[in-house]
Amino acid sequence: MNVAISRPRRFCTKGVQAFSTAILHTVYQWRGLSTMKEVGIDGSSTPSNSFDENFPVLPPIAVKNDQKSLSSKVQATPEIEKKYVHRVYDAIAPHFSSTRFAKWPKVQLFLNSLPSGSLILDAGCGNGKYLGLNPNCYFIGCDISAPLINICSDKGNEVLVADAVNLPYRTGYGDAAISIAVLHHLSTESRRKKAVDELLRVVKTGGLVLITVWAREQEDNTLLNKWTPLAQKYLAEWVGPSSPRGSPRVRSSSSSFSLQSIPETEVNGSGVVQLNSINEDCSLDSGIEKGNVYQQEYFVPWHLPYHRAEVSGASADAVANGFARKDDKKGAVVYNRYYHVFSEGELERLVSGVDGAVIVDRFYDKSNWCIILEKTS
Amino acid sequence: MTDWRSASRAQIQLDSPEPDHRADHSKNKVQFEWLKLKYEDKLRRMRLLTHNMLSSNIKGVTNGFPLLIEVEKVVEKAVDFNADFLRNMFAMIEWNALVEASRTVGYSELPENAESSMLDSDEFLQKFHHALLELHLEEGALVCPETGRKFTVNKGIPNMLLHEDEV
Repeated sequence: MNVAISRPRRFCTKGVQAFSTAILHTVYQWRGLSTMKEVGIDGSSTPSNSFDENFPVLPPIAVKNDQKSLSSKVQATPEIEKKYVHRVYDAIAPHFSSTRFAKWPKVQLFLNSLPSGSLILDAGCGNGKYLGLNPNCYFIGCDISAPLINICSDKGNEVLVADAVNLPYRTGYGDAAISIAVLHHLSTESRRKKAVDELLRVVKTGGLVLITVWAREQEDNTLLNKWTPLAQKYLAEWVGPSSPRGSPRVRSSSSSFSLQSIPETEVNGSGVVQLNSINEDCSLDSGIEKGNVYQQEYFVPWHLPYHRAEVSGASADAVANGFARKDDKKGAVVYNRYYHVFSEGELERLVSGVDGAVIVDRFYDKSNWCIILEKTS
Repeated sequence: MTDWRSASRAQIQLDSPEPDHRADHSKNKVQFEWLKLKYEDKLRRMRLLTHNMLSSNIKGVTNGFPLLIEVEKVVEKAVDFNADFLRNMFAMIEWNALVEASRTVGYSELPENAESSMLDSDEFLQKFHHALLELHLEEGALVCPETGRKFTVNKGIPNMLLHEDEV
């Protein structure tokens, strides 16, 4: 059974455990706060017979299930992630952590909506800012970066070092799982899909999964000018084709996002990255003006100030071997982090091939696409 | 007299929910110790709850649960009792694995078999609570039951990352 993308099962009261009802009830309540945009898939307009204008009913999406073709290649970490995600976070961990304290209200709301006594799994917990957020629940976090996990542990959290694409948990154990700002660091669609599979696998039936990812549609478009779009040639080398052919097309929305805002290129010192023309492998290109690029792969800089202690050690080496560069004007060592920023509707499309789950909510919040899934079987 | 006064103030500080920032400098040492106590108290190690959910997911392994425990250091740490959580977790726990794991770390008070009706017993809940949440593996290893591959546990942090040829 494919995921049926449906509105929340508002009328489904019989047989639903009080446990999950409580969660869903709360989820409903805070949908009112969300700023979700309409999402159209397969170019179809959203039906008007929706009960909730802000939450259109979408037809189930038939996605060719390519899971069988997922080879071990899916799980072996690509070089681009090792180098431009794992290694960077290891290098910037203390500084990153010292800047990551603001908690997104929507994540907070979700966590606080979970009943007392829930077990919550945070896959890709970073510095653990959400661990323990609901004092009546139990949290276990994991991240692939050992330096970040050490920081979590020092703060008193129960954590382990593990890969979000391959969670070391047995099936159906958690009451909820969260993946906050993680999937955009995975460089292929099959790996992103595998990470979603894993989140759903580890929660029990009725369990909820919250996923947030960076949106390509940033509230502050000028941010894009600070990012370095990855050239096709570069991507092909590191990442491979960005998504399988034959996957459904996502209608480019008529949102205010301007494609013209994508920068030519940013000075990044390496000389490798250059803007390219239309990505032929990218299935998300419909509705795009000819000559413009639907760019989703970026290097996003992290500025590690010279005064940070870690500059002297690992960062000196990183600069020496060209992995990072110095920006004397900003007084910082600049690392590039790899991002696949999600387009509107892409997260829904990603989960549409997953068995045994429904979307109970989705929204756009602070330049992130967010989705809440419920495991149904 | 002076001794009594400072002792009493130290006591007050230890009991207060937050350090008293108005205290004069002579109290700094006491404050520091208070913070340290609080900090230590928050430190958690790998609990048997975590052990009960971990599984070796090495490619080709069909039953990676439960992981065997190699103990180098175990610590006990009292944590808040939450009956909701225990009742919720009871359905998910593999009881035999918990009994075996708690024996391995030196606690053998759990009954061999358990059923949900026992959740009404306070005595049972206390034992369950202790085994699940208060016994922490600080140093040691978790061993895949099928392959013997060791996942080290350092400072209470299991490293469950797989090697390239294991995924």
